[in-house]
Amino acid sequence: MNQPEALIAAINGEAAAVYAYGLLGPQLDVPTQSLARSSMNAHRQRELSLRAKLDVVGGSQPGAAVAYEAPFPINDAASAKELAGLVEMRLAATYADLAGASTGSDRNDAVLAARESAVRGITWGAPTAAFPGLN
Amino acid sequence: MEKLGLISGPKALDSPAQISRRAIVAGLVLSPFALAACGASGGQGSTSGATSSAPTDSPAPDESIRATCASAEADLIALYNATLVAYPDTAGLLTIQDEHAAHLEALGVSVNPSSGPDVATSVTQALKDLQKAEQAAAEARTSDCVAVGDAALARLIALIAASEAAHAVALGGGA
Repeated sequence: MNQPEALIAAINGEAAAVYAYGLLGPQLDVPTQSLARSSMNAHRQRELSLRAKLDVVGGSQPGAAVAYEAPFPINDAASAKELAGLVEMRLAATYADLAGASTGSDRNDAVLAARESAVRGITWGAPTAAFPGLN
Repeated sequence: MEKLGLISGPKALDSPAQISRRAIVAGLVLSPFALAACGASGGQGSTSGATSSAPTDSPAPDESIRATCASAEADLIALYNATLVAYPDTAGLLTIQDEHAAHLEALGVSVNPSSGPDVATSVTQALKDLQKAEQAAAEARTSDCVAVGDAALARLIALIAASEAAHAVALGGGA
């Protein structure tokens, strides 16, 4: 995977995360909803930074997906948190791919994003993993 | 697609593959899965063999960083061992220790087991020490990741850094 491909994958992952938080947020109690909102905003920001980086390295911007399907029904707080944890852990793996495909400060940014996502996954109750998002 | 390397077990494939049959478009579920699969195939060479993928930079620093990472993992395993001996009922430590063993295995370097370090006299302090060690490891792996030339090794070290940052939080501390 080259850097533009990895950036596009990360952009798609971030867009999916934003969608997921929109879907799961309403199932949470009010204090937890604010964590979902701040997570969603963080992912929006990351998507914008990734798109800016893609412009710099040269690659065509991926469009928004038409629809997403959650892997299980999101109908209560527990399933909402589980989805948030899952999305974050998978994003950590996506950012690890981006780290591999990047160098220097871009790679540093990707590792920090991978760490942030994995940490957020734990916050949502995801289990620890040797290779977040892969096992 | 090439077969998956050892860092991506069959579990990583099963559930998303089932989901992808139903997914309307590549997205929430499908897209991260596809990534994991591609990345894992790219990572196979160096995570399992250490010799098959050509480093883009000089090879010697990569191997020395790989050895540094492996010895750090051995130190962490020893710290968990010693903590478990002192406080055998502490929940969750065995799982995390196993995850470090998986890191070590994926690095593909055999190292001598580290000697057991001293463990704090209270369980609270012992957990804080583990947390501190995980946080320090996440920072060190972040620098190591940036320093290596080989892309697959960088990816593996990035995953380890993320795992260890998550361990620090799971043990009860901040990010």
